This record gives sequence, C-alpha cells and structure tokens, in this order.
Amino acid sequence: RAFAERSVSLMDQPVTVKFADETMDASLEKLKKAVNTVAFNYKMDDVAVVKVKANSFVNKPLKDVLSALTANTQLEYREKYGTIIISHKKVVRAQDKITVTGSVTDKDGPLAGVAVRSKSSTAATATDINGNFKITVEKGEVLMFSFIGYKSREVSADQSPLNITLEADVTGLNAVVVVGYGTQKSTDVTGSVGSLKVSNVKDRSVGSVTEMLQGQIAGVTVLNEGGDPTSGPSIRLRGQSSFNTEGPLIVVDGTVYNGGPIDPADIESIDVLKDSYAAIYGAKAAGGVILITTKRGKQGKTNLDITAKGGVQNALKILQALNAADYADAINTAYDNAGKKRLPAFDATINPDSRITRTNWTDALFRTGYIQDYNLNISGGSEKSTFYISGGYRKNDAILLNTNAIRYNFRVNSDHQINNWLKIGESMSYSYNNGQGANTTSAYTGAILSAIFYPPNASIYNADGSFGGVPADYAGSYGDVINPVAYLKRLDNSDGVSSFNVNPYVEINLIKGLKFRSNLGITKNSETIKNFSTRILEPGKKFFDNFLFQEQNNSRTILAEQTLSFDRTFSDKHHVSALAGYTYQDDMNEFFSVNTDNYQSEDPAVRYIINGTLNPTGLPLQGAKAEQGLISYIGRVGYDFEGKYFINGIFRRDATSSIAAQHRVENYPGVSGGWIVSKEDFFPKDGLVSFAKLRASYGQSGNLAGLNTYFPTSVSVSKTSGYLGNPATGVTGAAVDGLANLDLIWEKATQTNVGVDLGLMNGKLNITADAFVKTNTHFIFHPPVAAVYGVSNPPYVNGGKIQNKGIELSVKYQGNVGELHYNFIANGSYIKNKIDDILSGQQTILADPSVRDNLVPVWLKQGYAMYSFFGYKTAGLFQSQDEVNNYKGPTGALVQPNAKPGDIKFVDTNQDGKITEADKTYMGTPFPKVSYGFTANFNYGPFDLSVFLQGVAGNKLFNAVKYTGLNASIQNYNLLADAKNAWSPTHTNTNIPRLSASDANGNFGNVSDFYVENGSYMRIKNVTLGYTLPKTLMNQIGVRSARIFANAQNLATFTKYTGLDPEVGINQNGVDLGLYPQARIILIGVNVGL
Amino acid sequence: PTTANFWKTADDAQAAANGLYEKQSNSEDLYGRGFFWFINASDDMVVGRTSADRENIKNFICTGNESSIYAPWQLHFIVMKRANDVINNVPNINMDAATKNFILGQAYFIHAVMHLEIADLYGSNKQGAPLQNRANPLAFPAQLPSVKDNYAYIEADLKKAASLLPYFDKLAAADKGRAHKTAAYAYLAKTYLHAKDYANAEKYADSVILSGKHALLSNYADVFKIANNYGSEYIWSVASNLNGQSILPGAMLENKGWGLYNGFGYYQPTKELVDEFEAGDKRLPATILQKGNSFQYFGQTYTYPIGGKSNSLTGYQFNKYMEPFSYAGGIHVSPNGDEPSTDLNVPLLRYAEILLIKAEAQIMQGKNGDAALNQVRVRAGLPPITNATMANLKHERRVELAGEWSDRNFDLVRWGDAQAIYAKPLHGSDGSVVWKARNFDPARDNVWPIPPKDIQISQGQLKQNAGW
Repeated sequence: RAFAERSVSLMDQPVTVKFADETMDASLEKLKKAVNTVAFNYKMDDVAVVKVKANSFVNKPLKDVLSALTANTQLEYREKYGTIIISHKKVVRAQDKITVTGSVTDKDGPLAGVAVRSKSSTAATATDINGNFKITVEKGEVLMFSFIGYKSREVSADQSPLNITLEADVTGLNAVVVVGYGTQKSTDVTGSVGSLKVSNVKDRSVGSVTEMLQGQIAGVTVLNEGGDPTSGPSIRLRGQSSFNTEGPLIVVDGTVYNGGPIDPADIESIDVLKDSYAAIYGAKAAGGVILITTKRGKQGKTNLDITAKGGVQNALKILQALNAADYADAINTAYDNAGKKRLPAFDATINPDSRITRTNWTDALFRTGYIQDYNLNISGGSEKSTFYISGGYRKNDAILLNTNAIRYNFRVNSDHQINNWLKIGESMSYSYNNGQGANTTSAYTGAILSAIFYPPNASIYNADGSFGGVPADYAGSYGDVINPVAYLKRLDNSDGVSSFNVNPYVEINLIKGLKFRSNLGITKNSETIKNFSTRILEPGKKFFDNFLFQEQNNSRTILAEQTLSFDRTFSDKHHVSALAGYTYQDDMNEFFSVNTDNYQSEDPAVRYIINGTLNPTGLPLQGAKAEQGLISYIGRVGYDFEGKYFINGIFRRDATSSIAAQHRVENYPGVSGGWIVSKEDFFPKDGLVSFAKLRASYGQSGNLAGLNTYFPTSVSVSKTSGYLGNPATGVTGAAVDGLANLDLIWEKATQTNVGVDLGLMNGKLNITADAFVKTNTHFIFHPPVAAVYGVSNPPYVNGGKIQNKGIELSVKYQGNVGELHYNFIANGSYIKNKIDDILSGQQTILADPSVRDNLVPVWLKQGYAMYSFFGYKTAGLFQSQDEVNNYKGPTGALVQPNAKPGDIKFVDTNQDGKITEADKTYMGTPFPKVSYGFTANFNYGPFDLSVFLQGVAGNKLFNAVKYTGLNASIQNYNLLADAKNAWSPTHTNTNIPRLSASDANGNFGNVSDFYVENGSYMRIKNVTLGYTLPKTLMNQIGVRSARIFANAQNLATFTKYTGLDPEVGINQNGVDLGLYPQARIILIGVNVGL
Repeated sequence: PTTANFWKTADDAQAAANGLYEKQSNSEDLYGRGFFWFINASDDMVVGRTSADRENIKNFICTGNESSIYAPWQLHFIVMKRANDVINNVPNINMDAATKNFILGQAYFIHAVMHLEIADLYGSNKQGAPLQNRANPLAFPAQLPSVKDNYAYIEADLKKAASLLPYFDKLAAADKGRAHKTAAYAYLAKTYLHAKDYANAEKYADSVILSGKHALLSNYADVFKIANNYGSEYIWSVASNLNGQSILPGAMLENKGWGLYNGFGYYQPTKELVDEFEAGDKRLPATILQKGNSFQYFGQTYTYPIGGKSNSLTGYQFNKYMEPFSYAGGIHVSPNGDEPSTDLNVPLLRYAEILLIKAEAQIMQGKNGDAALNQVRVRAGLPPITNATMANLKHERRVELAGEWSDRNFDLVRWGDAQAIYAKPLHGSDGSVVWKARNFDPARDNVWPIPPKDIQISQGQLKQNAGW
C-alpha cells in the first residue's frame, strides 16, 4: 500500500528543470539530477538520436515533463516499481509503415549481399544479385547499409526508392580480421594484428606471397635473398628471436598450410598475428602467424576476370673487374710486394697477350630477362552456393643467363548453404613450381665471383663455337676457375614441386550462436630434383666426368581440426564469444636419391638415369623417411561489454612426437584486453580524435623449428662410404655422428604488447602504434662443440634467453582534392635484439657462414644482438715502416711484426702487445633495427597511381666480395676494379691495403671492420600507373570493366653500400658473397572483367 | 637406423668398423692434403702457388683457424670418436669371436694412428694433446699433462691392436687396406721412436722385420706403382681408388696439368732436396722431375716441363706419384676436377721406414745401425757405409722418404735441427731464392697452434700451446 501511495506521488512530484537544444540523453541526465530519488531505465541508443527543443519547467509534475519530452517521438514512458521506463511505443500504427525499395552500388556497379537493417527495429535484409533490396519499416526509421570493406551509411527511411552509393573504406575499422580459428571485427581486436589489402600490391608480378608483404605491415621484415628466381624471400615477425630459422607459421583459409606457392591473384587478404593472438597456434607460433584468406565466390552475377602482365628486367648493378692490362699490372705488383718472382703469364715481355682484354665477364653473365604473368578467374553463385575458380601461370626468365622460374596455379573454392543449419564447402588448390637457379653464394664457385676471377684475356667461345677457357699455356697461373658463362649455359637443374591441397569443411549451426566446424586438410607435395652436370673440358678446371643427380621427395600432411564456436550478445550489452577445438596433425616425409655418372652422350634427350651407371663415388643411393605427429587442444573466450570493454583469453595445449615423452606436452596461454575510449561519454565528441582504442596483451607460444627433421631423442646412424680391398672398391658402413639429448624441452616465446589505435579527422587519418617485448627462452639449437669431441652433429640443447623489444607504427591517411582521391600508408618498426643468455658457461658461438672456410665474422655473443659481426678494429693503413716500428706493445715488441707500409693497422684493444682473438670487438648486426615502407595511392578520374618505397636502417653488411675481389693472395684471380685504388707509395689516401701475393699481416685473412659496411638502404620498390577505360565504351562492347597499367619495380636504390645489392637477405646473416642481384622490372598489363 | 636400434648385430659391428675408414680415405682433408701442410713446412718443398694461408703455415705465422689446419684437426677426432664407439659397444654384441677381435683390433689401431698424428703435432712435454674420454663421450676431451702420456696411451692401444689383429697375409682380398698385426707393430716402433724410447723402437721394428711378412722391393721406383699397392713393402697406406680418395698425387701435379688435367701445383721440391741426393742415387729420378727429364703423361712421352712452360715456383716437381697420370685415357685417375685422386695407394708407413727407424733406434742407443741402413742404400744403388752416424741416418731418411707422409718437418723438430735449417732460404732449380729464410722458434714452433676457434668454443677448457 505504501508503495502505491508513493508511486502516485512519484509521477506527480514537482520538478524544476531546464533543457537546451540537445539530444534526449542529455535532457534525461539533467532530469535525473533534478529528481534524484527516482530511477530511470532506457536504452542510450533510443534516446541519443532524439532531439529535444530548449524548454524550461518550474515546479511542474514529473509526468508533464516526461510527456513534453516524448511528445512527437517514437518513445513513450511508464512507471513500474518506482522506475521510470522510457522505451519505444508498443503500439504500431499501420499507417506509419513504409516499404522502401532501392539499390546499392559502389563506383563500379551494383553490390550484392549488402546488409540493410533498421537501427531501431529488427527489420533486416540484404541486397540481391543486382544490388536491389526491399524492406518494410516505420517511416522515419534509420536504415543502416553495411558491407565489408565499405564505409557503412545510415539513411532515414523517408522515401522510396532509395539509391545508395557506398564508398570503399580504407580505414579498415569495419573490416573483419582473421584471428585464427575464426574472425573478429577489427574494432573488437585486442591483439596486435596487421592486415594487408591485397589490391595495393596486385599489379606487381611476384614469385611468392612473402614478397607481397614486403614493407606493407609494421613489424614484418621481408628481405629478398637476392634475385635468384628460385629462392623466396625470408620473413621475420618482430625480429629474429631464436637461433633457428624461425619463420612465421602460414595459415591459409583457416588451416595450417605447407603446400605450394599461392598465386597472389587468388588472395583476398592477409592478416598477421604478431603478439599473444598467435598463442592459438601455440606449438609453432613463436615466429608469428600469417593468415591468408583466398578469394571466394559472392552471390550475384558470374564474373570473369582476366589479368595479363608482361615485361622486361635488367640487373640493377653489375660489379666490374679489372681489364686485362690492369689485371696483369695488379698481379705483377702483388708479386713484387710479396717479394716473389713475377709469373711469366703476366709478364708483358713474355706473354704480351696478357694485356689484351677480350671479355667483360661480369657483363657477359647478364641478359635482359622476361616475365609473363597471367591469371583468369571465374566467380559467382546463387544465394545457396558460391564458387571461385582460378588458374594462373607465371614465367620468369631471370637476368642471369639460363636462370628461370615457372609456376602454374589452379584453385577451386566453393561454399554451399544446404539448409539453415548446414553449410559445406572446400578450398582446393594445385600448384606446380619449377625453376633453375644459379650458385651465387659459394666463395669458391659462385657465378658472380667466378666472373670477377676469370682472366679478361680469355674468350667466352673458341673460334669453333666451343666454350673458351683460360689461356692454355698458362693455365696454372689463373687459379681454379671455370668459365662462368659456360657454367650458366650448361646448367641443367630442375626442382619441380607439385603440390595438391584440399581442405573440405562442414559447418553446423547447433543452436543460436553455437556452431560446429570440422575440416580436414590434406596436402601432398611431390618434388623431383634433377641436376645434370656436364663434362668441362676447356682449360681451367677440368671435369672429365658427367653425372646426373636425381631425387624424389614426397611429403604428406594431414590436419584434422574440429572446433565448436559460440557467439552471442546478451541484453544488447554482453557480447560473448567462445571457441573450443581439437586438432591433429601428422607430417610425413619420404625421399630417395640416385646419383649416376658416365653418360656417353650429353644430348639432352638422353639425360635419364637409364643411360648412366651408378656413380662409384660416395653414396649413390640414399633414402629416408620421417614422420611427426602433433595433437592440440585449443580454447578461446572473448567478452565485451557494450562494445567498449574487451577481454580475450586463449589457451592451447600441444603434444608433439618430436621430443622425449616426459617433455612432450606444453601449454600456451594468452590474454588480452581492449578499451574503446572514444565510446566513453567523457570522450570529447566532434574533436580531432574520433576513435581511440587501447590494447594490451600477454601470451606464450612455442617453437620446434630448430629440430628440423632430426629426431633429437636418439641419434641417426649415418651411412658411410670408404674404399678398401685390392682392387679398392667402395665399402659402406655406419657411424654414430652425433650425441642425443633426452632432456630437450619446447622452446617458448613470451610476448607482452601494448597498443593504441586512433582514428582522427573523422577517420581520414588512422594511426596504430604498438610496443612489445618478446622473450624467447629454452630455444632449441645445436651449438657447435669443440672439434675434439669428434662429432659432426652436436646434440640439440635448450638455450637461455633472447629478447626483442620494439615499437611499431603505422599511419594511414586518406583524403581528396576535388576528383583527386589519395591515400598514404606508412609503417615502420624499430627492433632491438639482445642475447641475454646462451647457455650456462657459454658466452660465444661462432655462426655461419664462413668465407672460403677462413673468415668467421658472425658470432652469437651474450649481451649483443644475434648474429652480430665481431672482428678487429682497424686504424687505417701503415703509411711508413716507421709507423710499423713505432707500433709497440707494453714489452716494446712490435704489435704487428709482419706488417709493411700499406698494410692494415689493427687495434690492440686489450693493449697486451699482440693481436689475438681477445682484441675482437662488436662491429654491428646484419638484422635491420628499423624497417619501413611507404605507399601512396592516387586516383583521378580513370587514372590511378601507386608508389611504394621500402627500406631498412641500422644494419651492417659484411662485404665478403672484398675478401676475394681485392685480395691478390688467393690464387692470382682477377680482382675488382676497385683494386686500382689499393695503397701504394704514390697512392696513400685509401683504405684498401696494398696488393700482395702473400698476406703475412692478415690484411684479408683477419676479420676486421675493413669488410663491414653500412647496410641501410631505401628502395623505390614499385610504381604503378593505371588507366580505367570508360565504362560507357566498355558497356557497348560487352565488357564489365577494363584497365591497363604499367608497373616498374626496383626503380632506384639509395644506399652507401658498395657491394652488388644491399638487400642481402637473412639466410647469409648479412655476409655478401656476390649474391644474385635483384632486377629492375618494367611490366605492362591489363585487367579485364566480363 | 638410430642409436636406439643400433649396436645389436654382427652386421652393425661390421658396419661400424667400415665407418672407421670413411674419413681416412674419402676426404681431401685427412690424407688428401690434410696435415701435409705441416710436412710442407720442411726444407724439402714449398707452397707451389699463391695461397696466403698455406704460406703463413710454412712461415709459422698461421693462426690455427685456417681451414687447412682446422679440417684435418677435426677429422682426426671424428675418426677417434668412431673408434671409441666401436671399442665401447662391439664387445657387448653376440658374434663370432674372430670377427669381433678383428673389428676391435681395427678400432684400437685406427684410434692409435689418429692419436699419434695429433700427439706429434700438437703435444709437447709442456702440454699434451687432447684425448677423448673413451668411457664417457660427453666428458670434455682435455689435454693430457704431457705428450708422454699421449704416447703411453697410444702404445697401450697399439699393443691391444697387435694382439687382436691378424697378419696381413691372412686378410681376404676385399679386406686389404684394413688394419693388420705388423702395421700395429710398425706404429709401435714409430711411437716409441717419437717417445725417444729407442730400445722399444728397435724391438718393435724387429717385430715387423722378423715377422717375415715384408721386404724391400728390388726397384725403388716400383714402390710408387699401382701394381704394388699391396706389395711386400706395404705396411700402411691410404687405400686408394680413382673414385675419390687421397688426392695427394693430383695436389702435387703441375698446376692445371699443362691443360690436360686439373693438377693443383702444391708441394714443389726445392734445390736443397735435389742437392741432398748423392750422385748415382736411383731415388733421385724416381723422386723428382727436373728440367729435361722425360716422363710418360696421358699416354705420351714428354720432356719436363711440357712445352717448356711450368707454373712450378721451383722448376721441379715430385715424381713419386706420377705413375697414375702416365696412362692414355687417364684410366687410373679421377675424372672429377675437384677430387684428383688416383688408383695409387699413397704410403703412410712403408717397410723402408721401419728399417730406418731400427737404424736410428740402434744409433741412438750407441749400437751399430749399419745393417738396416745399408739395406735401404744398396737398393738405391749406393755403396754401403760403415759405422753410420745420425748424420748418415738423417741424410738417408730425407732422400728415402722425400715427399711422403713420414714428415721431415717433424723429424727436424724432434732432432732439434729445424731452427738452424729454416734460417736458410730455399732455392729453385735456377739457383734463385724461392722462399726466404724463416724465423723458427723451437720453444713455440715445435708444435702447432691449437685452433683458437676450438679454444673459444670450449670456453678455455682447451689451452693454447705456449707462445701461439
């Protein structure tokens, strides 16, 4: 009773309040303050859109105030249990209903599948194949049109028809991001996830997906391993943090992928999980995860799209060697300086031919290469079934003679909605990849080094058309070299990989929000390697034998994944998502190889093993099989409140067969949170910043990459060969060439990340910044052990601790000046790497590569970045014997007793009077501290222009070409043209030591900063200019769209590096041995849509 | 197979025994060139072509990290580890006793030979050479206190080997090249000689001599012929075949072989060596090619040097390993330009050296060594000498074993002659200096530098030899 009485008085209680011209939520706040004894209940979305006129009430009953507020709105008020409830009017007046029809288009034409829904009621539909829609709502309701990749639009349902044009969204805020076993709306993401819109790079012709990523995503470092058409670039996410080749995990269409190359034209989007989000892929995710989504069909008209491009390529730079006369002079000087008698071969009075230049060998290696690249795809579908079918072909005849790569792709993706609870589909692809590369990384036989070495007075061909060799009379004076042009032209290598991947899935909607998905990925790779080596009979280095090496490599991966996912919003506020899953992966690899020799004829038609005999040397027959299993349980829960506060938790439990049973299982957790600050009431509206989100994450993932295919729990017994008996014949045997470690455990990467996403100027400017600390512990590697142990394969061990700290920034800006639309995308990252701990008792490990087995410049040293260069500091060249004699240690003995004027002065860092290993100091790291990319896109009417720059900074390179190219003490090889700049009594202003046929001072034999150069570079990687043909014209000839474009790659490079190419890659740890250089490529192409 | 299922059967044991010979015969870095770079430090030969690292070795200014030093260093320990694996595991295998003994004998023998080479080159009375812990392969292979401890270990292994191994003439044709009893005696004699235990050196030289299994060939030049790979003078050689074993013959051949073959042109003899031969010594033409000598080369007769042009720094070439190159069509040489091996077994320790070890051991004990010494001289067409001195012995060792693995540099070191001899420059055939006088400091240079790389990897557990 008392309650009722009170309620009466509640609605009648007098109120004094004053409203401004404002939205109703503001008015209600004022009203709440005025009657602070009364509770209110309403939805912010309902009241925030209602405009209130300025008005004031003095001691009016509350019900009058509320009536005034809700007059002429769709809202009504009532009182229940002491609470004022404001909600939509229950009574629907039929006369206010309106059926709106219309169409949705973008600048290219109708859009099918655009979601159309009322903001205030449950009415919703989607556009059909022709972009048309029909929806019945109350008049004046706000309709929202949204479509992935486009900016959403809100339009009041006041009239019909409504013709809506959607604008493409470059901010990406509305985009859906693939996050592993599912997707999230970009705004909901709480981890560090980078995304690449493939359309930005579609006009380039690239050999691999990795190449597309270069410079596109902050924190993703992609470096080409030279320009060899058969070698892909290396990729590292957030730096190198382990001693093994820790590349990121590749996931295609939701499934871990180890198939063949993917045609870039088939890719819809690429997302990169950089932080704890990767923990969902626990076991192998320490290097980050790259998620590739391929194109799928959309309901609507069946489209045929054709892209064809072709072009030419040339070397960016060619190193030059000395001409014949300069070469002879250099060798003579070197012999004089070494106190040796000059060689007749270089003595003009004995051999005048030595001064006649016949061939520029380095130029002779290169040619103009050609690239062709075609893709054709058909896509479309009905409301129930959609499909995407594509085929592609790419051929790259590269710039070094006789090197090439070829790729075929075929893909079918389809999806079928069988009924409202069952969906099935598949991704299926086949690729064939083959090519012929050239050896450019050996310091003995690399093609580019050989061309520098080869005497310029030799000819490429003899008069009879056979290959020329070094001048026969003096063959012994030119060292071990083979004609590099002949080497390239004789190449007969192939490495064809056929890869078939099929990944069918079934999705079942169990109850609202709960979905079961099962997929079974099967990948089969079949690789056939064939290398035929011909006889080499020209003077120089003779090979009287020929042989054919053939290897067959088959691998198979089965990956079965079952997931149960749940996604539902409760009370419009609580959005809950959850995922649970079980996956099983089994990898099998089997190979055999055959080595045959003694081919009577070298005719390409008879280069098959049947025509040879089993090679009597070594082990002509080999074969092995390896199999590994991985079982995982995965889980993820996400919760957000009112789309403002987000939290995500990830858990994964992995078990592998690769390590001993007691250490087999490992758990990987991840947790992250986000807060969209700009949705808070206190956040200034209409300010400069329109969107602001803070993110933080922590997570762990694992890594077994260091194990390769070896079984660390026991040691493989190697097969040996030897020769015994009379007559001696081959005898095979066995040797235990390693030591096992049963205590090996999983490598673990722990990562903490904080980030911020900002949208400024109404979404024109978007900024994402992240800072992270990534720590790898227990990293798996096998450190070299002292040779005295007598094992070639040291045991695997778990290392100590490596840390990467970094910051990443990416900025996107879009705008327009009249018809000129433009956007700029810049990203950069700074990474600081440090080895905190290698192994107990171990502070240094010497790493690969070595230069001609002599220089070992790359060390792993505690307290320094991984793979840093260590060597002697130099203090210029000795200019006189006095300077040599005055360089004394504490005992008065000469520090460099073997030095002569023109030799390098090494700094005796520890001042013990001797130059020893202890004097070696840090000389920089090959891994870039800063890597960045900048893309600018312009659109003006039918024209589009895209410019992309990419670069790195803060890294050093070890120019090992100097070791062979400026060093006259190896084998009388020809030298780099720079050798003319060597020190002599009359040419003292140089840092190149004197020419000498001996190296008593170790000018070249010592690792020193003489070899180390700044590796920073900036490269204009890509420029594309396109022209879209007029639509009206195209319509007349029945073409949906057509565009022609021109594309230039590697237009210009800015660097101080003096070697061939500063982009030396990662595999060689920054040691440049004359790597296959990159090409400048000019392409023209056409996109046609039917 | 993996270690989890190996060491079970007689076949496993046999396979592991075969594995002992892989590195020995199949890699250029063990007996192809390998420690020959140290032998090259003597006054008998020079680095025949530009190669700074190798010149630095000869001039005793190397670092020890040079691949030419590191590779043979590493391979010796790999072979010793394999031998230890056999010694540890084969006794537990249930198999025929005679076969088992033969296999274990090979392991002890091969280990001892590798160990002796390392001990001679890296061990001194101040600091011994590293030795793997046979019982525990994970224990650090530390240096022994003195090289004497290395020699004692080697002697014990060789005695076990000798007791387990059969005589050479009991080996099947297919097993020739494997260790045998008198080879173990021969290495015992050599080890005792290096350990300066002359009584035992003489005793074990006699074990070889009195076994009656060996004899000098009547013609010195025949020692270096394919037909005599396992002739009566054979005790221990690099089992060779044109498919990829000791490349020493190719390494010594004229650089690029006058356009006909990929010779490497290293290790060219000096005038000092040529002048050491007495007039009428049949060994000179068999050992060295001089200007105007005729020789067979790929089926034809040529005059050295072919076409009057040579890339030899000294104007000479070793002739000992030239027989494989004499045949038309190159039927006894490797067709592979990177691996110029031949069908000729390269001797490591032959019967003549046993006679010289006996003579030296006798002279050093104050006994008369004439009988053994004169066997060698007479075969060379020289008159016998009486009351031979160490000077006679040194001369005889030099000319008999020139250009072979017996290692004159180590001889000069152990005789204490290196410093004086290396202080003189070396000459070519025209009398000009081809190698300047060198500064040899016995306190340091009697042994070679432990590779600093390994010192670093071992975190200082390995210690550098004094002065290096």
